[in-house]
Amino acid sequence: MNLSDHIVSGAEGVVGYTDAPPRHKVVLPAAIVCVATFLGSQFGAVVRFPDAGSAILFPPYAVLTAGLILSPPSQWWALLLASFVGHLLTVPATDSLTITFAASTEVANFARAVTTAAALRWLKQERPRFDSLDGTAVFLGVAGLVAPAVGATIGAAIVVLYGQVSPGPEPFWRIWRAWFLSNAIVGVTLLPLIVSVVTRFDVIRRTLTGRRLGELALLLVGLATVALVALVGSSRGPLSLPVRLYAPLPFLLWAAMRFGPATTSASLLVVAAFAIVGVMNGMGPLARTPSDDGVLSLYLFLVFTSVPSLLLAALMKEREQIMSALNADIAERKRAQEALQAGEERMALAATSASLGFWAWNLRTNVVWLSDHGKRVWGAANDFEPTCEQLISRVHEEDRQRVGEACAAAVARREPCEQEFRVMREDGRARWLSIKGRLEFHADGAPKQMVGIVIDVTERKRAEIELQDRRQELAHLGRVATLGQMSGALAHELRQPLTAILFNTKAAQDLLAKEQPDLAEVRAILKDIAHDDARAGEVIGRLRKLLKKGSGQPTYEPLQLSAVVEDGLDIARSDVMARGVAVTTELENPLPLVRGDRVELQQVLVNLLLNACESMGCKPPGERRLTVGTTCDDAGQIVAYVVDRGTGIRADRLEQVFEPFVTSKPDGLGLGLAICRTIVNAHRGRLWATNNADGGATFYLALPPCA
Amino acid sequence: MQAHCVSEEDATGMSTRSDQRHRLPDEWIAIVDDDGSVRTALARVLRAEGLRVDTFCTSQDYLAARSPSSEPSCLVLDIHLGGASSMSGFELHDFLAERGPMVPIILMTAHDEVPSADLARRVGCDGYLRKPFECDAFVNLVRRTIRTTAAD
Repeated sequence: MNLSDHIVSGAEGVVGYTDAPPRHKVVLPAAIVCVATFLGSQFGAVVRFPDAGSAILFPPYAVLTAGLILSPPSQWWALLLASFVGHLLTVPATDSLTITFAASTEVANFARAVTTAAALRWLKQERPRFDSLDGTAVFLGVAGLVAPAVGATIGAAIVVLYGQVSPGPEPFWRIWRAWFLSNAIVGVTLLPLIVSVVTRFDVIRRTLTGRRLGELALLLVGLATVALVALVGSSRGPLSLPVRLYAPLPFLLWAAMRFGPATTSASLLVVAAFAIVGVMNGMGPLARTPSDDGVLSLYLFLVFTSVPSLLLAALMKEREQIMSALNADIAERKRAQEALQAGEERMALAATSASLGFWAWNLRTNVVWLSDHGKRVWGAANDFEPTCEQLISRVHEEDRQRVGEACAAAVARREPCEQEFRVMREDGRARWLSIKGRLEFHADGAPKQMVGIVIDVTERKRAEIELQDRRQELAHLGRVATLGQMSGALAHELRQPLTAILFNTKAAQDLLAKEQPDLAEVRAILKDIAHDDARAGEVIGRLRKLLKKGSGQPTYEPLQLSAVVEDGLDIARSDVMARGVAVTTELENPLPLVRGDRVELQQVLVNLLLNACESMGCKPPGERRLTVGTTCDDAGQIVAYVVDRGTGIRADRLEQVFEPFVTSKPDGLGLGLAICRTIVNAHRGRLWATNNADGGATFYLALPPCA
Repeated sequence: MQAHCVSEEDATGMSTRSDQRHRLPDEWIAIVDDDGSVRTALARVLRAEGLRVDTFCTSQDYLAARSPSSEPSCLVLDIHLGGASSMSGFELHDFLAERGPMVPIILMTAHDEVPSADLARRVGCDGYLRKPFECDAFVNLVRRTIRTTAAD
């Protein structure tokens, strides 16, 4: 078992052979070869041709050859030596000539074995497993034909040379034939058995258990019985020649089909053994003819039996392997298909639950493939293969041109495409869709198709629009609140001209009541009245700037932030004046334009200015100084700032002041800055506050420049 | 805010004053208001009533023009006098009250300040008017104040 284990374990790592093998891995096989050769030679000496004086079956050939086949060439010397020793041990040490002759015949044995092993290596069959037709055919050809021929040639020459030949005609060819036949029989029976048992040992040990073992025993016993009756039984029995010759065939087929090469070889050996016994004893169907022909018939019988049986066994193995590979392949494909199907189902489920539709726009045919959900959301459920134009024709007319141009531009620029637009459903209702797509290219780099997703974003859009409306309402309420805050100062500004107009009118009336009115004075009075009226009108006009309610959509337009700041200063002027605040402006003009709603940005500025004025209420009039400016910061943002000299903001409240209902005023709602931040965020800008090193706070409004 | 104090306007006021000084030497009205339009309009009406009127843009201007020998019969004073360094109506009142006999004062304001009205009454002002006010009411208040002072 140690040998088998060694070789089997070696078979798993063939590379190991090329390295210098450990000593015990050389010694053990060599010892086995030596012993087996010794026993085999003894056996061969018994089973001999009566006339040719050579063995019918010469096991040492099989032993040495199997050893060489199963060992790396670097160990061959040891095996050859072992075989030589084993062989010499059988030779009776009578005289030097006998020993020299025996040693010389061993050369023939070496030649056979080395020829077989080397030829198999050369033909890439260094580890024959008898599981392929090609490999088995090559093995049988080499071991049963070529190597015996080589060995017979050398052996016969040596025998003739040493004169160890029995009397008779054509000594060389007679001896050659005897040697060739005996070795050929070994080559197609014993050698395959040893090699296949060793190389397939793992398989045999794994599969040959329980019922299989019983079946094997049944096979061998059956075969032995049949072979005994057919091949050794009396040739004058009731059985005709063909029946006797074919009798073992069912068992051989059984071995080949049900078991494998090793069992087949074993069965063949059984057949060969009985055949040889029959021939040697002049019994059985092969013993009819003179003994030489009987051996030839035996040889042909064994070759014709062995070769097809082994080939059949190999074929069965090959088929088995192909089938199992095929089954594995089929199982693998099935698994892959199942996985794919499961993946697709999950994908579809995910897509459905995410309300996701898929599309692919073939740029050559212009046909757009849409998933079912995609067709539904597009309102194109009835279109079989819609073209790009058909789909675009369903887009809301206000968005249609934009979408068409954007898609064409994305293809031309080889960029991903992302669009939101409305489609008109057949029920006349508009739905908002969002598409995202990317290009796929041919191998030559030409755009092939655009694939992507489509989502119904109507609800989101509706929420967005609602949110925008709410924000605008809030902003408007904020303005109303700001106006309320400013009403005192505004009233003051209106009362001054109204008072003046009233008194000027009275003065003019009094003047005109005189007999000689001073018309020049009346004219001056009327001029003053007109002036004051204009003053009052201006105040009203400023009021209206803030009172103007958005027309539903905020009017975003390119604006000069410095101009907006000036407007804000204008609106807040009454308050600034009423509070005795001195204003310094640092407006840069022109700055890059910003995109925004004029009224809303004015509102922000007015709020910042009023807050700044209020924060300085407790300061002496001379210290109520306000600096308002605009600039462009390093990041390219357009910034407006309002610097006050007030009390500043507590460090932990710098961010809090922008939250709703956070106020420092006893009667304030705390919405002003919160609304301002909402407005600024809607403009994609930033609004924040810092404390000044020398007292007071600075509020910043930063807006991105117009793209 | 200072811009409302147009110098030529004051020059006009000065010339009017010199015309009327001989007729009513003891009864002259001083108006202090930082709003030029209001100042001029009030002065026109009072002059039409035959009163001698001087107008001043700031408290400082008024203080510079008066002297113990020539106190106005009535001082018409705006509470909110603009300009960061300007003295407000109340401050001028306090300043005058600390320096001798009180000149009759009528306070005016364009703001809705209830505290101011209370304060005006408490400090003993002769009148308090919220702009815009009636011409007749104003003229009557000024005349009544002058009479009361004369009676004292």
